[in-house]
Amino acid sequence: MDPWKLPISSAIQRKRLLSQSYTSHASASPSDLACADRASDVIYLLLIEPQVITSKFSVFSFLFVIGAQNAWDILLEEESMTRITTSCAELDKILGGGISCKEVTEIGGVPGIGKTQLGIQLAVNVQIPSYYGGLGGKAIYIDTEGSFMVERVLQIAEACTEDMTEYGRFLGKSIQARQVEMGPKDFLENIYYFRVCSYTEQIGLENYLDKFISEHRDVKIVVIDSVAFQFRQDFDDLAQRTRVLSAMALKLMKLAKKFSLAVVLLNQVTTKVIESSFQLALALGDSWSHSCTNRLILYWNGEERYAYIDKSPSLRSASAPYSVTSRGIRNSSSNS
Amino acid sequence: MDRGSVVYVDTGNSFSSRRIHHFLCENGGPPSKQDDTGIVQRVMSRILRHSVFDINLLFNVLHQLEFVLGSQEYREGCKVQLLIIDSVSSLITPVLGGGSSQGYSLMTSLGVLLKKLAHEHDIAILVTNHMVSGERGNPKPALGESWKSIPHVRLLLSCNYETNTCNISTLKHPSLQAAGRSASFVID
Repeated sequence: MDPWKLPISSAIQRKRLLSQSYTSHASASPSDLACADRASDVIYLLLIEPQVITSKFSVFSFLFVIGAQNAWDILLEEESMTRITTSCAELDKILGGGISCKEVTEIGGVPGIGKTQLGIQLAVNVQIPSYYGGLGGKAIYIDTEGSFMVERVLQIAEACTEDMTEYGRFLGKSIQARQVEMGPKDFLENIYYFRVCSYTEQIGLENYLDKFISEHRDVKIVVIDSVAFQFRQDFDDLAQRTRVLSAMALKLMKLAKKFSLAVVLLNQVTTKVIESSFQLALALGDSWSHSCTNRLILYWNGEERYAYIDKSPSLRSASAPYSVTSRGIRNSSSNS
Repeated sequence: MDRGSVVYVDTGNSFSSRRIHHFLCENGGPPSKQDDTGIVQRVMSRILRHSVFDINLLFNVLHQLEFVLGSQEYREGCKVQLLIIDSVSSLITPVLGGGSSQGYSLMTSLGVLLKKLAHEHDIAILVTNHMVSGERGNPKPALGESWKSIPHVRLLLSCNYETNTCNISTLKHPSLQAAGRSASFVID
């Protein structure tokens, strides 16, 4: 069967198949054709071997679409998924336990509010072993601004190790038998750091992440600090910027779902002028603000730092205070 | 087995089964402990979520659905009554514009396919779109003028943060009485 004769929806797909010399399907199996077209192989099964599919579908017909999951199974799966703690009890409470995996969370705020600190705290907290209630995973930290300070990460990792030892002592013998195997240097070793200096490098890195994470399956969080920086200068064509950013957002979503990891994007603020008055809004525009699953806004309320859930499919809009201490992100001092 | 099913195509990992569980149960406890009658489980097992992050994969899913809906086994099984695509603009925006017309043709063929599915198989299709800023800072729906003619009904949702109420109004509706009307609601 000629690729020309297959009822494929777009001429581009046909061209792609022909360019890879699939002129007759005598040798091509549906999965080869699908690989060539980078599409799901079910559509080729449907077109070339319908009798195979009808037998498969009699088993799968209750699913309608292969690869779908029903809501009840998803709920049971979600209940058992561990979240990444932020080390601040109030913040964890409004987040329903912490940052959840399989979701893209955007954290935005004015300069100096503690976005990088929160990013570093999450990169350290994801490594907390499972017997302490953490995920025991590794972190990828993508730095676009150059604000990653290793000394600070060491400080936060040391504080985390001390907290874990104390928690172990508090819990008694069962944990003590295992001792805290992780020292602060182990925390540093488990953070993969990438420094990015232009928007092309950032896009290239996001394309590479899929391959990188397939080889390092224990990565459980990707922190991008900050996602806006490289896109705010040098972009003349704003429509192209919107296209590039939405493609990037889709790739990050796919990464989060495929590898069950959390993606945390740190964003800057900009001033929006509306009818001669101005207000602060997150950078990268309106279309980007639709691209994340959850959004957390960090702001000042008097002398205190607060976090507000701006967008979430399942969490209520709420605020919580937090503070940035020498040990990292902790509960606000006025409460405790 | 004669109750309907829902297919939810999720492009932004926004499908929250926990939230659906909240809607169904008045008190939000852990799911395994509640639900003596099994009705919540039955209702939730009819909602199928499929994650799609590429416009071509969306076409695959819709063609698959079309094939299944037309097959013999399906007619004897349980019906799909609602298809939700959330959101179509995040799939189309990366391919739209940029000099080539491939994006527009994909968008239009998607629209035609959805209308065909709705008409031939009696499915209600709900598609979500985003508001982006238009001229002079006023928001307008994404995807432009060509998409405007594809849906039969267009609804606009807006939220008033001070009073915490939301408003829904019809921008386009085939029946004259329904066009231009609006209603307020709250989200708990």
